[in-house]
Amino acid sequence: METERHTPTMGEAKELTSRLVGAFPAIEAVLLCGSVARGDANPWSDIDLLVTSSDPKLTVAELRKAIPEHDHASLIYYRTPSFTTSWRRHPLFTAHLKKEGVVLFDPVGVLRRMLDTPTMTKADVAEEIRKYRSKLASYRHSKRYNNNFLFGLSRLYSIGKGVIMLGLASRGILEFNRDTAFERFATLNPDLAERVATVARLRPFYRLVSGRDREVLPFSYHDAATEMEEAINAIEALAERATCQ
Amino acid sequence: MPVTPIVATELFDKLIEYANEVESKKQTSSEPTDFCDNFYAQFFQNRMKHEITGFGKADQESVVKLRLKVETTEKQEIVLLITWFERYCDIRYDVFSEEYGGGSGEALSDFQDYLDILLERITGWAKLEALTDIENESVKARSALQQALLSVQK
Repeated sequence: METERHTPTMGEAKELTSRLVGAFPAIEAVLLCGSVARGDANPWSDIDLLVTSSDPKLTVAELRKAIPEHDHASLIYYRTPSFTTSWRRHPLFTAHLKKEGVVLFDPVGVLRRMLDTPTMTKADVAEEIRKYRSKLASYRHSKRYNNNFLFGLSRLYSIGKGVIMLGLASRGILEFNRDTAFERFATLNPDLAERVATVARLRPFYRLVSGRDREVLPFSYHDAATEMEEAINAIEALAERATCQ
Repeated sequence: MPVTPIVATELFDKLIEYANEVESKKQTSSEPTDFCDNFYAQFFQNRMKHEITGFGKADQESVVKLRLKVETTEKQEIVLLITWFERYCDIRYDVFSEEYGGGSGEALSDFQDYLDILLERITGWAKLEALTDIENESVKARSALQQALLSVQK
């Protein structure tokens, strides 16, 4: 029998944080992000917690053991030095955390240092779009996938979503709600609406791979070389526009 | 009709490209997890007739069941690859957990032991089943990664 779902709350996020921090004293920071932080969660939402620690041996699997009944908790885990490197390298990531993150635990100022950085510049956006584009080339070699394109399609969805959010950022719009971001980008670039839809169509593959609630797949991921190629071309077109804005 | 290979030898090019980028200190355009994700997808689908769709608890548990079923019928080289997938499920999201790209020599350093053992086990399995192309590619990729790692550590 399926358990009735409820909308996760900030209170639950705080309770999860207390349990994690209690179980793992090396945890140095916990930041809530995603829909619960934005206040637009629904019964299918996860509680997205970014956790950093100074313990080189700690893993996501161990963190999960401390909260076994919380299947809907999505943990993003970093060792603190890697987190610092990551937010310095990825301005969109930082902008995202700065815009919607809610600090739940930060005794040594790991998050404070990130939150105090200046807002991303146009040059930062352009550089990050260039990095995303450079990733696309590897997906053009369809033989590598041996007729199983599931993980390629899932990854392309992440890349496409990032490019769309960067395209908005290049216009000064920081939007990290996926649906709103896709809609806004398409409204601002009506000639690319179909390309946006091509990326949006990949979402069920991403959800399947990330173990979230399954959605009906729009096509089989076997023998999907044509769809893969279409997705790459769509993302290229979106990236081109995002760079020129 | 062409026969589908168990694992595409072209897949190993992903690792070679990655190693070359790390060695030349370039921003990497792919992650080593890309290789692992797709290797396991192909290996399980084509060799074990068992499809994986991710690296979470459900896939890990289904593979544990599979291992228990085949432990007495399959050779050790196969079982070792299966157990290495189980380990992958534990660490996959520690390596590249965020969606905003990444990829660096640092990531390779973190993941080096895992990848090195995976390639060693792939070589062992390919040798056992006389999959010469896969054996050669895995040896080549392992050597390229070891060299890249040395250059990062210098």
